[in-house]
Amino acid sequence: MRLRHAAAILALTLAGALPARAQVSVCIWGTITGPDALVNGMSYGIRDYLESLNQTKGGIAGQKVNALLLDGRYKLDEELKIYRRCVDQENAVFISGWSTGSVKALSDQITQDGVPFITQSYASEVLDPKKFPYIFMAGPTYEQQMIIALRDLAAKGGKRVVIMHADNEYGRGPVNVIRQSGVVNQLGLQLVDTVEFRYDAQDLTAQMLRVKSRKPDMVYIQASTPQAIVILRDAAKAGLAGKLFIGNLYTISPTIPEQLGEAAEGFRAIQAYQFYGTDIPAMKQIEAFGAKAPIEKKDMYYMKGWMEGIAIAAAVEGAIKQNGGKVPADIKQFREAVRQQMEAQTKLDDGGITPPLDFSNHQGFVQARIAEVNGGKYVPVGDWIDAR
Amino acid sequence: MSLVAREVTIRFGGVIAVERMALEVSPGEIVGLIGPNGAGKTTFINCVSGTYRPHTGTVRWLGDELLGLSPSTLLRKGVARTFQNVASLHDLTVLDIAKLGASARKDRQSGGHLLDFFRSDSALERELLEQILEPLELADVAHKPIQTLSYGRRKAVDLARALAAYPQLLLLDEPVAGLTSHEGMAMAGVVRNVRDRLGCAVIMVEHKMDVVMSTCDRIVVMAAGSKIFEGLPAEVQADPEVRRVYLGEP
Amino acid sequence: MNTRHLVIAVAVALLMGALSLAFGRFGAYMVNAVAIAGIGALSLNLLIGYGGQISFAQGALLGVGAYTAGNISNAGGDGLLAILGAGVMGAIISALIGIPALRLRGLYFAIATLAAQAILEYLFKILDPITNGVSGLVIRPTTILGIPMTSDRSLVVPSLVILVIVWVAVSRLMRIDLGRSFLVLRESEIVAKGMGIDVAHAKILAFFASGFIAGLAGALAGFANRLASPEAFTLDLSADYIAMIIIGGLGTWTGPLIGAAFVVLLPEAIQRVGEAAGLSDILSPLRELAFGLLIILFLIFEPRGLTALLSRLKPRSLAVPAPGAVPATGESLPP
Ligand SMILES: Nc1ncnc2c1ncn2[C@@H]1O[C@H](COP(=O)(O)OP(=O)(O)OP(=O)(O)O)[C@@H](O)[C@H]1O
Ligand SMILES: [Mg+2]
Repeated sequence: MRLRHAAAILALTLAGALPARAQVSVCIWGTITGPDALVNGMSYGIRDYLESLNQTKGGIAGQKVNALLLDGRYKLDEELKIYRRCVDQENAVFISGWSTGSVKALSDQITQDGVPFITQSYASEVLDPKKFPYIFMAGPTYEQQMIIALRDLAAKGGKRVVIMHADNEYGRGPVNVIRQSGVVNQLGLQLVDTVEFRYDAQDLTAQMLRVKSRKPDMVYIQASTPQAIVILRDAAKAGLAGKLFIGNLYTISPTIPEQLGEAAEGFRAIQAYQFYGTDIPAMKQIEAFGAKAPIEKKDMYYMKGWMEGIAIAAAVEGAIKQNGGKVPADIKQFREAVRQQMEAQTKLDDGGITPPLDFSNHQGFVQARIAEVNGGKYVPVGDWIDAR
Repeated sequence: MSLVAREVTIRFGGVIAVERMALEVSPGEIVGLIGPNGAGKTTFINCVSGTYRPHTGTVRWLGDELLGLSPSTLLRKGVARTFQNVASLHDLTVLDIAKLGASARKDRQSGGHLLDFFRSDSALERELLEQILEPLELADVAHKPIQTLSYGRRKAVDLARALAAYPQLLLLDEPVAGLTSHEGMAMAGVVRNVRDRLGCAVIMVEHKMDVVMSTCDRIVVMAAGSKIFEGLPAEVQADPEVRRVYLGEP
Repeated sequence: MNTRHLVIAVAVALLMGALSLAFGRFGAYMVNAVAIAGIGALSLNLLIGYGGQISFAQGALLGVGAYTAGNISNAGGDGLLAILGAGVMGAIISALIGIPALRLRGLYFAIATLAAQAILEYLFKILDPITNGVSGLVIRPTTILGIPMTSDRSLVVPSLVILVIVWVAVSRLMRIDLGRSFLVLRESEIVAKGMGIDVAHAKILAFFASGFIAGLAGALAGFANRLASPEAFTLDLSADYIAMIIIGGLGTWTGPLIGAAFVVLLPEAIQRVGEAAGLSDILSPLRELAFGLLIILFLIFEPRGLTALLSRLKPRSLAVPAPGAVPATGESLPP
């Protein structure tokens, strides 16, 4: 009897999971809820771009696109589950995935399944067209972002560098790469300390006093917005100026000046995409789309997503056109054609969000510049620098 | 004498619960241990069964010192006891409890738990049913969880557990308290039969004098932690001091 | 009794196997996830539900299994060896975690297991040669008895076989002296001691057996995820397992599996319902909330969990008399 009930529950739950079929399906998982939710704009950006194509052009090459946005919650098992759903049930031709851990865990399977995949994690390990021919990345890796900041310091005659990072892969991985590469010394700089802190730390006063004692000329933050807020808040308590600090791409968020006010002034971060609201052609499209549907996140990450949407759509369009305007019947063939089209893009215009994209090496572009919080807003303070 | 206890003393803070208590029991003998509430009877049993560690004294069983040994070691040496108050144990059936008692027996000690996994215990089950549960009128509820049983029957289950160990020294703490007089007499009969069959030494703490008189070979009277009298049932009833202290006569 | 359990376990496994075939790769992954969670929940139920020892270190123990199996398998060992090795390692670490239980009881011990969880999480992060630190250990697809485990579907087989073995073994364990002494231990240590049960021995064995099973589950999780990382074996996971055994029904035989299926499938069910109703944005954050709420509701209204709830649905159970002692009669002196 009990058995029958258990079976019924199981069957009922799984019955809801029957495969849904659409001609062109793109699957995006992000962190809708979870620790990274502050910087999840790109997940919405991709979806909205594809939706805008449905609205304005009837989809891609005349085919409606099913853009499915799912919540990975920054949990490995949830993300692995979503991946299966995308590959197996949604028949996604392109997948956008989130955490570094999940991309690593899935890297072999992505190759096995032959499904084009764009990673929102900038971990350099998965950027290897030979080993992982289906994995693509939009912009500069964490290491490249760090190098841009270091070069800037060297150019300005600074010397003493402190790196702060979270105690997870995202924090430790790139810092170790930079340390081992010797690039700090090559630039004539000195790494006077690396400070590791708990990813979910709520108080870093002690760490900031330690940082202060090192008399740094620059403190690089390899962490995201929530951590940067704690760091800058406690830095102010310790009497360290905001302008000493520079964070990676994931520390560009209006939340930082909003929450910290004066303490955030002078704080700098790596900018790789044009800000939301910049006068570029892509923004016109976004505004047109925004007139009809609410835009969830009006920030740089959304711009990143929009750009990724453009790249995905262009590759899919190329694959359909190549097949005589029809979606290839075999999803395997379709995915392979999309991968080839993605690699074939060498001068893709994304409406000014970034320089022209070139995915032949699987990394769309490699430049960034530095932006500074000034009067509560991020303002670019340098030229675009190539980080190669 | 196979059980010889001497000078057993235990204090709880300021309270001297048992003081220089002495007791001897021979195999095959049933000794009644009586005395007013708080006399220290349960505490003494606890000392012999390893639950408490007395401050001074010796308790020797067939020449071996028992004090300092844990209840589980003592059980393996053949010392089993019952409790004044029975615990209700969820999910365990009457037979389960009996089997737990039997688990201390030498013939059940070989092989360890891993072997238990693959060993059938239907022979043991049959034996427990016939030898122990049947006489205690528990055979019909053998597969019932014990919390569904009446208080009296639960006390019988507790006795069954102790008996299943086939003890050489059996310590009974008020085995018939809370039972009807019919149930009590039946229980006492079982104790006598077991003694006859196993030849074990028995100490029985009990307040019900009719049961004590008809069951015990010898009676020890405790008051305020010490032995105040020892003798045959008839002598005890006749002693004026015992009557005053215990039976409450002037 | 035992054969009945065997029949049920095999039937459930066959049903799960059929479901994994019917729902493609995603279905296979979900069935595998339920089976692994079921094994992990059986392990924790053995410790908490039967042995009465509350532990918050289950997540870390699964991690021990995953890392152990990953290392053995990556070094070229057969998957079966890796799984058994994970079991042994889980058992050893679990027994170590159990040592404070010899002195501490109840909540005090539970706090000690919290510390154990934190220490193990920390070790996962710093024992680089074994765990590859915060990056996590990538586990290459294993082979079991020479058969490569490259697909989700192939992994379902070992998971279901182990589930059946563990499920039946737990049923058997509760019918031998050791298992019975766990039950007494759960009710009262004092009673157990008085009954002549070697409490320390029984406790350590409870941790040992539970840890062995947790290790197996961890190994299977490692093979399914292909990555063992510190972030996957946190206190959150321990909490999930506690939720499973409470929702399923503490100390019941079917409870762990029902609870595991429920906890693994509920978020997906909420998600799919949300999508169908166009409410997924609202329902997504609700998933976390739903668990907390469910556990509280179960603790208040049905402490014996879904198992009890389901068995109440069948008319047969109405015939069982309500438990409760008949008042004692006859004169006796108060104790
Ligand atoms: N664990 C303990 N801590 C403190 N005092 C105790 C403890 N156990 C027993 N005592 C005290 O020791 C004395 C003897 O108690 P005990 O239970 O041995 O009496 P008893 O003869 O069994 O009485 P009854 O006939 O009521 O069962 C009492 O004064 C009791 O309060
Ligand atoms: Mg007493």
